[in-house]
Amino acid sequence: MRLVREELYKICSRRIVKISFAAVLAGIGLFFMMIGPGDERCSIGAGMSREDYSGFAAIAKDKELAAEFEGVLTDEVVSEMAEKCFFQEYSEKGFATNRNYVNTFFTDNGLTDGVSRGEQRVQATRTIPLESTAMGSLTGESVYFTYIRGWQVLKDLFSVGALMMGVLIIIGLSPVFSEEYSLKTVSILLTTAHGKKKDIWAKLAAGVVFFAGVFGICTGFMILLCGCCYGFKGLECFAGMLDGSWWLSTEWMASASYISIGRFFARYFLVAFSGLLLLTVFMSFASAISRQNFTALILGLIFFLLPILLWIFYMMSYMHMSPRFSLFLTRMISSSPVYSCFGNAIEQVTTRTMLLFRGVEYLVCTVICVGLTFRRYRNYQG
Amino acid sequence: MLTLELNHLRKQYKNKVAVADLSLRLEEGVYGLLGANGAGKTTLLRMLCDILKPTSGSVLCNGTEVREMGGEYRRLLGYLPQDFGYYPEMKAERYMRYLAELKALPPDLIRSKTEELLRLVELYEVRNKKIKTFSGGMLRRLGIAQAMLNDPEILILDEPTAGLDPKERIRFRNIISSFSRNRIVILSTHIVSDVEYIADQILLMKQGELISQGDLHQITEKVRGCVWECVTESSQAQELNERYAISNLRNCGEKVSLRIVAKEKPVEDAVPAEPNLEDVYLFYFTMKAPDGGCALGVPARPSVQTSDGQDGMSK
Ligand SMILES: Nc1ncnc2c1ncn2[C@@H]1O[C@H](COP(=O)(O)OP(=O)(O)O)[C@@H](O)[C@H]1O
Ligand SMILES: [Mg+2]
Repeated sequence: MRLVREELYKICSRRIVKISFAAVLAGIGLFFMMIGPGDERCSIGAGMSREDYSGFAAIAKDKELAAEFEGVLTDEVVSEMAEKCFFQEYSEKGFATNRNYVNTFFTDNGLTDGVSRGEQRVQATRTIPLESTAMGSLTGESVYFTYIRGWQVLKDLFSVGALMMGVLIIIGLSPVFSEEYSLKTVSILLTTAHGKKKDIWAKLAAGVVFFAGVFGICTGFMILLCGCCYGFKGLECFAGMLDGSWWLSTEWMASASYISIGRFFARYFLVAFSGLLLLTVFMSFASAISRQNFTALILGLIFFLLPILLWIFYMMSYMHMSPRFSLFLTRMISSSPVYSCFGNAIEQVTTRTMLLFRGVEYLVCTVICVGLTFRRYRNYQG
Repeated sequence: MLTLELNHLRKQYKNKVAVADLSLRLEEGVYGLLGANGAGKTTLLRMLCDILKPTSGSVLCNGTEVREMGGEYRRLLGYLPQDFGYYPEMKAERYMRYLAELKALPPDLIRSKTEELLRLVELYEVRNKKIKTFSGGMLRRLGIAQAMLNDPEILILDEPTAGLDPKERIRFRNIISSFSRNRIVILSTHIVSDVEYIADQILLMKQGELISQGDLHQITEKVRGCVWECVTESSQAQELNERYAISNLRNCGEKVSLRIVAKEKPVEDAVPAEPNLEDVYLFYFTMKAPDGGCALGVPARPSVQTSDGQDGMSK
């Protein structure tokens, strides 16, 4: 245990880690302000009497507005919403000019005959009876409406935050083994009683603890930012409300069962955690086979970002692939650390085979990485 | 009683043989491994520490192969590498505690042992300074202290005196002398005076081979009759310098007093002198002839390095 603490101290005491960590927190805060309060607009009323709010004022107004309709969604509530908050109107560039939380809700969730999808904009004229919408029928449960804007922001914020955590892990863990080579401390470490076994486990464990700490602190910070700014309510609401166009996604539709926002995030965090844990394990391996920290850093970045290239490759040539290979490739890509950070957590672990695939893949990777780490480090010849 | 046995130990890098078929039996005592740079000392010591795999041959500790003993062997071991690695940003005390942890010291001993050793090498005052602020001599002392943390029964020091000033060097000798009871201490050096005083056994290594072994007396006896002293004109001294290995050269007035290592009498009026370890070193290391004879045209240096010279620690 104390060895783990020492190794952890070695990781955390480097200046670059402290600076990067501060930068990640600052980046999260900045990004939050950009996509959160900085981007809030709330329009109340229409025509000459319309009032426009932005920033924190918009949040307060949206909350007020939403409070009026809070409760189980029915056809009457939806039409009242439309009456009070009006259908969205679009500028030439396709921006809603009179958006507020409520009309964004019924527009994005397909409760009107309007269209706001990609480039397409068709202004709505009426609301649609709930049971003939995806939201009403597919979820199979009554939809509870409340102000959940904070969780919408969290979903976008976390995907960026998780990517930044990934980079932080790569920076923080690249020297764990390679630095022992470059500083030549390896000769001493390998001649100590614990140097060839327990210390290697301690280094691996310290990496995992470091990652868990980073993940906990950053995720907690993001939840606090969103919660304190927007309120913590609505965790039991339908998760589809997080993402306006959920009913357009085939994966979502295929998996459409009622899942709450709280469960969605639990799942999302778990997927991201497991993905970044794989990155953590990989970094130990990358570090153990690199003589210089920088090499390990580059290896880590390649491992982290390669799936994006693979995805581009896949998009260009999937027509020429056999269905099996194509499926395998997409699963590999979607279970990679970088894609585990993105917000489509639902899509990645909808079926049992997908979970199994992920589990087996991670297990195999971990065993290989840890095995090779031991081999390379223990037998380092200078 | 502890024994270390090297059985036909050999290490070859591509086409360079660093250690050639070396067999040796070590028992308690201080061993001074003396050899020129590139003789294979570091390679040999790294194999003894089980961090370098021999090309062939084996190292046995009390009859068991050290590779098989693993952690058990490493518990007995203290090692100071030639290029001593450290964490520049770490403080000296933290570094020592970390290594104490690695060396599996009991938790209640770590603090006292660290303090004791830091005092021993006179680094206690600077224990809270970052290691990167240390001078070369301080680094070496820290390295010696870490090697002794676990009271090793086998202490392997690779050029422990490099970078130490004369006072530190004397202190180091005393530390080792008092520490070496019932232990095996092996220290490598290319500085003759280091081993002259503390080594019970001297191992002379050249081009990967052990060319001579024994205590100071036995070793020096081997070159008895090959050391000469004479006083000549400075012009003749120049000529002699080109032909023979000169272990000492001193001006006295118009004349020059020379100490020459040579198999045959170099000049008429040369008289045999009492050999010392420096002469032995010169005898073996500056002469090319395979029979150890005094070849002609060997560019011999006027004197062997006896004080601190270059070392591998220029950080
Ligand atoms: N990793 C290596 N690769 C190739 N040659 C090496 C390596 N390490 C040492 N050598 C060679 O082996 C010989 C012995 O080196 P070394 O053991 O460091 O000598 P010493 O410690 O006596 O100065 C030298 O000629 C050196 O060039
Ligand atoms: Mg050496």
